[in-house]
Amino acid sequence: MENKGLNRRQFLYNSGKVLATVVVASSGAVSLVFPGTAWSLSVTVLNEHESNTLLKMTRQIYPHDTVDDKFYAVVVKMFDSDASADEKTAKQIKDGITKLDNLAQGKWIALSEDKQNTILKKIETSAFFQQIRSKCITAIYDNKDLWQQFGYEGSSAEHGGYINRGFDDLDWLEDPPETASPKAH
Amino acid sequence: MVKIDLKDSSAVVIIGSGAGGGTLANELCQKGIKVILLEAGKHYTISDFKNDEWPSFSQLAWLDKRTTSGNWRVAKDFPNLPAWICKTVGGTTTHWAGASLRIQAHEFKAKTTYGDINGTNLADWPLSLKDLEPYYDRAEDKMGVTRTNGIPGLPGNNNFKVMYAGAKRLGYKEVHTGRMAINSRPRHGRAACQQIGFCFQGCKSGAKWSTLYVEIPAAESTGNLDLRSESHVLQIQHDAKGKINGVLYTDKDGAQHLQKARIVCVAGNSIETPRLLLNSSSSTYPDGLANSSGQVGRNYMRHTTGSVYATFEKPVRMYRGTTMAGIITDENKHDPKRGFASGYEMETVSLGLPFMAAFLDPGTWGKQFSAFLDAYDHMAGMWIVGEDMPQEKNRVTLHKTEKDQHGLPIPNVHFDDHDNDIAMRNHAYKQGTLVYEAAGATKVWETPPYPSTHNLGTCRMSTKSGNGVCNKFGQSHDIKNLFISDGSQFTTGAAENPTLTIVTLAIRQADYIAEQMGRQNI
Repeated sequence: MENKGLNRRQFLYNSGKVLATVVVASSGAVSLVFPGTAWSLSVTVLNEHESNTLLKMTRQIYPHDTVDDKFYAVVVKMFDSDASADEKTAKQIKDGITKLDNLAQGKWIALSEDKQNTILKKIETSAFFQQIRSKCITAIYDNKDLWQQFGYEGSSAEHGGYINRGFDDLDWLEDPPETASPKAH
Repeated sequence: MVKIDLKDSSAVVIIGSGAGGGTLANELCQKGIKVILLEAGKHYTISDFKNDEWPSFSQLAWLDKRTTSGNWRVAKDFPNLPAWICKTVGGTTTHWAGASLRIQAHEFKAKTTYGDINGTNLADWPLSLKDLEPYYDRAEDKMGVTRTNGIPGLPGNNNFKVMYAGAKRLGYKEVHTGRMAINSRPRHGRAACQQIGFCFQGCKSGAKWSTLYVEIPAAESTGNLDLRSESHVLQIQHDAKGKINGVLYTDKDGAQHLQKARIVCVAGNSIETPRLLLNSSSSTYPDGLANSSGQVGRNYMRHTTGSVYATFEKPVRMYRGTTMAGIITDENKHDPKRGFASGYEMETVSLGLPFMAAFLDPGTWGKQFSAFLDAYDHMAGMWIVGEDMPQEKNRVTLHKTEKDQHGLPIPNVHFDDHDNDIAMRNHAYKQGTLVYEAAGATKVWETPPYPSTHNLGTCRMSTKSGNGVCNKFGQSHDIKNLFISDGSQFTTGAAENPTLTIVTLAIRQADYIAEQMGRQNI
C-alpha cells in the first residue's frame, strides 16, 4: 500500500512548509494562518507549536490525502476549547506534547513521517493519544462536508430511498438469478 | 386507549415493548385480556427516525451505564456499551435488520447433538422444532417474512451481488436474499421496501416489521391496552405467600407508582430482565426472583459474531438498499470436522461512513486503516452469526458499587469467549475472506464483534427447575404468575437471528397464559 512517489501534499508536509504562522489578536487569542489557504485557526490556550503538533498528529492518525487541513483543525479547536474550560485537560495536552518531543529528542513535528509514526506507536495507549484519536473519529468521518469525497451519500429516505436510484446498479459482476434475487416490486 | 387503575389487580403487566413484550401484549389484548405495557423509553413515530447514524443512536439506543468484564473484545473496545439495543417503544424491533430464520431441529437438542463440551452448560431445550412449528407459521405470517406465505424475496442490492458472485464461485449452494420481515411488496397495510438503506436506524417506510407500528397499534385498537412509555420498572413485588402482586415503576418526572397486577411478564432484553429479577430480591427471595436455581443472569450468550469487509477495484456502494437482505446458509450445520460444534450464517451488512470508522477495527489507526476507508464506496460487507456456547460464568450481575439514575445497581456483563466460539469465528473469517477474494477483492478486513445485538439465555428455559429459570412456556419455575417473555428464555443460542423465535415464543406464551387464566391457575 506504500505510495512510492510523494504527492504534493506529502512533499509540503515533509518540507515543513505547511506550518502555520501566528497572528496575535488584541484579545490575546492566537490565529494560526496557513500559507496558501483561506482559513485560519483561532486558539486561546494552545500555543503555536502545540497547535501545529496536534494538527500533524490528527493527520498522522487518520491520514487522508484528499482531506483538507481545515477538517483536521476542527479537532485542534475542540482541544483548545476543552483546555480553556478545564486546567486538567490543558495540562494533559501540554504534557502529552512535551512527552512526544522528549521521545523525539527534539521537536516531534520536525521528524520524518516514519519516525513520527514510530513515536506515536509508543504512546498509542495513553489517554492523551486515545482522546485525540476518538475525537478524530467523529470530527472527520461524521462530518457531512466530507461524506461526498468518501463516496457516502448519507440520508436517503427524503429522496425515496434507492429503489429507483441504483440500489442494484453494480454491473461488473454477473447478476444473480431471480430465484436468489427476485425483481423489485 | 384504556386507562387501568393503579389498584386494579386484574391485568397482565408486561415490562418491555420489543419483540417479546410488544407481541405478547397484542396477542393477549386480541384475546380480550387487559394489558399494561410498561416501556422505559420514549414513544417515537416513524417520522421521528433519522437517516443519520450517531443522532439515531442517541435517539434509540439504551445508553444507561453498564460495565463489562471478561476476555471478549467488546469489553476492551466498548467497556460501557456491552450491547447495542434500544430504549424506546418498540424496543430493539426499531433497530433490528429483519432477518427471520427458524431455529433448526438439531439446535433445539444442543446437548444431545454437540455432546459434552468442556466448560459449557449446554442443555436441550424443553421443546422441539415440531412443538414450535405452528407458532413459527403464525409469526411468519404476522411479520410478513419473505419466502414464506407466498411472499417473494427482496431484490438483491449491490452488496448482495458481490456476496452472491463470490459465494457461487467458491461453491456455496444456498445463497439468496434471505427470509426477511421486510415487505417485498405492500402487505397488511404496510408499504414495500424502498431500499433506503438505514434499516438499523428505524425503517422510514414502515416496510420492516416492528412492534412500534404493527403489534402495539393493533393491541390499542382492541381497547385492552394501557401503554405507558417512559415508565422504568424498578422492582417486581410479591405478597406474603411469594406470589407476584405488582410492580414499582418511575415515570418520566421521577414520580414512583405501584401498579397492581395479576401476572407479570418480563421482556426487558437479556441484560435488563435478569437485572430486574436480581434487583427485586426480598427476604422471601434473597437471591432475587425466580432464582432458586441460581441461573438468573447466567449462560449469557451473544452469538459468535464478527464481520468481513472487502474492497474492490470498482464501486459497490454497499450502503444502498436493504442492509441484511443477503445470506449464505451452507455453513449453518453441525459438522465437527471443521473443528467446532454447531454452525454460522453469513449475512450482508453495511455501515455508513460514521459507524464504519467507529466499528471497523476500534482503536486502530494509521495509513492502512485510512486507506481502507478511502475505498468506502468500493466496499462490500458481511456479518457472521454463529451459535456461541452457554457458559455459567458468562453472566449479568449487579454492580457492587455503581448505581443508575434511579439509585439501583447497574448491570455488569461478563463474557469470555469459549474455544469453540473462537474456532468458529476464525473459520468464518477465513470463509468470508474466500468469498470476497473469489469476487475479486483487493483487500479484506476482519472486523471484531460489535456491541451485542443478540443478547440471550440469562433466564433460560429448562425441563428441570434446578437447571434453569423458566419452563417451556416461559413461566418461572418458582413463581407461577411470573413469566420471562424475551430472548432471555433461550436455552441455547442457535445460529439464527433470534427475533423470529422470540416472537414465536411470545405467541405461544399468550395462548398458554390465556388458557391458565381461564382455568384460574394463575
